[in-house]
Amino acid sequence: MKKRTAIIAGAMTALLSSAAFGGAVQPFPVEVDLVNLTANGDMVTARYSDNKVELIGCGIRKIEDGAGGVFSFGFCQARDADDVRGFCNTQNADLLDAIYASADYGFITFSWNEDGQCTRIGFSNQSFYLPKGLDSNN
Amino acid sequence: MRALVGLSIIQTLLLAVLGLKLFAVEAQVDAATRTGLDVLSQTAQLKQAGIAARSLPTQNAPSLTGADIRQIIREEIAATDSDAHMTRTAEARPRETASYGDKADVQRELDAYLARGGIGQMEMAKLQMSIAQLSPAERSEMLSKLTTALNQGDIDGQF
Repeated sequence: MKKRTAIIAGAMTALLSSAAFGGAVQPFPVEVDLVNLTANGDMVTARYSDNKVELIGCGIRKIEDGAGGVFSFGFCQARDADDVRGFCNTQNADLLDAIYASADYGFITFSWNEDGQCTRIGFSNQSFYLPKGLDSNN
Repeated sequence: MRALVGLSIIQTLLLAVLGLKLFAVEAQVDAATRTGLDVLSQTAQLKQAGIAARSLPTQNAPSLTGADIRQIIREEIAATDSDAHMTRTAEARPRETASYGDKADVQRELDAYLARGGIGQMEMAKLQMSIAQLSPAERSEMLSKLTTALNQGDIDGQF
């Protein structure tokens, strides 16, 4: 009887401790859709995926053009677990602004056209995309 | 003590010299003011009498005819136009003669990576720097070619 009570108590403790703390989590593995020319995924899930290929991200390059100006372009790139890849580039000021607005750990979605130019860039910074192990603010 | 007396004498002399200079300057200012008032008065009288300014006499300047004044105005306008034209030309020159990189060189660079089937991070940075030297239209074209090659798996690499 004592043994059964101890097992039940232990099981309940384990259930409570795993389910109650940490808030919502919504991992989004990288998806690359070559039919719709769209890629999605969150950076943390890609970074800690159980493969060596998954990735997603956007960036900006600023390069002196040799004539006193600076050439700026942005890009996004993604690769899913099956090594399907999607890339795009942009010189569009609004899309560059979108890239500037990105943050660590977020969800990324982007689309491109046949010429490889970005047609849509989106970021979402949510608590459920944050990695485990960050300091609690409680 | 002697030194102090000497300094006092020198100071007094300097004050005297400055005073004399001041009087001289004031006299010059008075003379100039009178001359200016005379000229203004004469101008007003001539205008009232309907006489053109070409016959305005001055003490030191030679008289100018209407033709002289028109000629001077024409020359000044011509000089101003010439300066403005030169400024515009100088501003336009960098655009006219701006030397962009050779697209063929960048294409060869890209072709080499296509032939190899891959591009490293340092090579990607170098290629992007080459693309930046091209004309705006050529930059877009080469970036599109690079991105398409990456999308199609013709080049293994990342931005």
